[in-house]
Amino acid sequence: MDQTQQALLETYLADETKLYQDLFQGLNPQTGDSSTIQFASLPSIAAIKLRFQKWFEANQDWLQQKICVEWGYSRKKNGFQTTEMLVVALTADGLTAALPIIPTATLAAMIILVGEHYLDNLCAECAKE
Amino acid sequence: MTDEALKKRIHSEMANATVKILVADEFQGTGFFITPDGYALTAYHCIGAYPPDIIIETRFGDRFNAELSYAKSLKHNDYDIAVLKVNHNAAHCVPLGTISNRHVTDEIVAIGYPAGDKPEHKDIGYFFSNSSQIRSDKKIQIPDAIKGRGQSGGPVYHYATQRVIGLVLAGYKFDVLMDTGLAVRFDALFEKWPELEIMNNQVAQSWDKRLAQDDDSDNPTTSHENPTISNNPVTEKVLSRAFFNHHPQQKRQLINALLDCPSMKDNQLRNTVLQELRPEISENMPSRSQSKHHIVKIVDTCLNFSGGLAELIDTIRFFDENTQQMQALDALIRQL
Repeated sequence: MDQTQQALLETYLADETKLYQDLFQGLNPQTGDSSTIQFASLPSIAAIKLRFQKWFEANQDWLQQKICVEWGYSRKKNGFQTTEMLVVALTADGLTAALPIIPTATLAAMIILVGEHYLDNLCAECAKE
Repeated sequence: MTDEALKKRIHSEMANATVKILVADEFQGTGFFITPDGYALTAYHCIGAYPPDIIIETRFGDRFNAELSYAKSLKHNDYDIAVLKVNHNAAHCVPLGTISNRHVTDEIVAIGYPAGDKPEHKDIGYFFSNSSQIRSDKKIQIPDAIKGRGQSGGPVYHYATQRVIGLVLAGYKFDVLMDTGLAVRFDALFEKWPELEIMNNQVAQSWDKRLAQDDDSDNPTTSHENPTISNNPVTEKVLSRAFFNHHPQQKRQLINALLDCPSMKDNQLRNTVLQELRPEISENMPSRSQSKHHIVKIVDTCLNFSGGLAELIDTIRFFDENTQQMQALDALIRQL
């Protein structure tokens, strides 16, 4: 993880609003030309969380295969004491960049997957199977 | 009908067809119904990727779950149009059309909910202007009528062709152009969704007929002096499903008052009243042999259409004018 990514990671962990706003921009990148602003209302953090849940459900199979099975999330996660360390490890192994979301939002998505226990729950179910 | 009266009528009809778009129960933008069977348009970016529940809210307070039609929508940098469908008949819808360069500088009105997430801006807004340019990418550039967040997805109506000719997408950044916005035309939508042309022609015919009828109704030989309650937003808001869902007792009182009216008491007269309603209501009216049961069903059916119950009451007034029962019904409505 380069210095820019590390700084962004720390910013996201300290600022939930920016984390979700950047995620939203990633899920819904501005279309049209750069001289205009789209005139939809901006969603709340709670609404973006619901949208992320939908993204997660749509990509669950991919996440399960790549992170739970191939990376061994449940087995490895106890080796990292914080969300930050776990995200750094997943990023170092190329999984953050590989997330099925536009590149500017991959780090935000991975932080939410780890920090909000999406991967804990997904990979625990996978381990049971 | 004078130009001014016709415009007022158009604004009222347009506003009735214009809706709020909510995603995850939060206001996102504006939309409008385009077919009686419940198709509506908004900007695709108002819906976005991975949308939670989508709700359409009419100005009368009715809320309907909507489905995004991915097959018909245009998720594209140049078009950005979402097609929504509700499982409900839309009592008010507007016809689409297109304009060319020869219409540039014509008068238009943009209708919608800029800043609609703020309580002081919760009511619909009307913004008048002229189209100033059709850009090389076919978008319509409009000064002074596209005001801010929440207006995306709203209709732009062109008086000369009597059609909605654009859907609001965006505003220019202030360092590029001041107080100027963009609307997308519908050419690409018609290409992607060929059946729309036939449906739109029907809506357009109905729209033209309605405006022409309003012309006739301005003629003193055909007008009548009785006050009407339809097209009165306050009354229509009260006579809506949203209101009666919260006030079931008042609904029962209204049904009893309707049952007292001479034209509703008699089975044959009641059917005559129902035949006077607009076709989309009368054709969906169930029949029942027992009067009270029938009136319950009539009210429920009318509540499926924005302004439907008000229309029913106005029709009853036509038959029962000056009767004590009609006066009692009017008094009850005023108290609701």
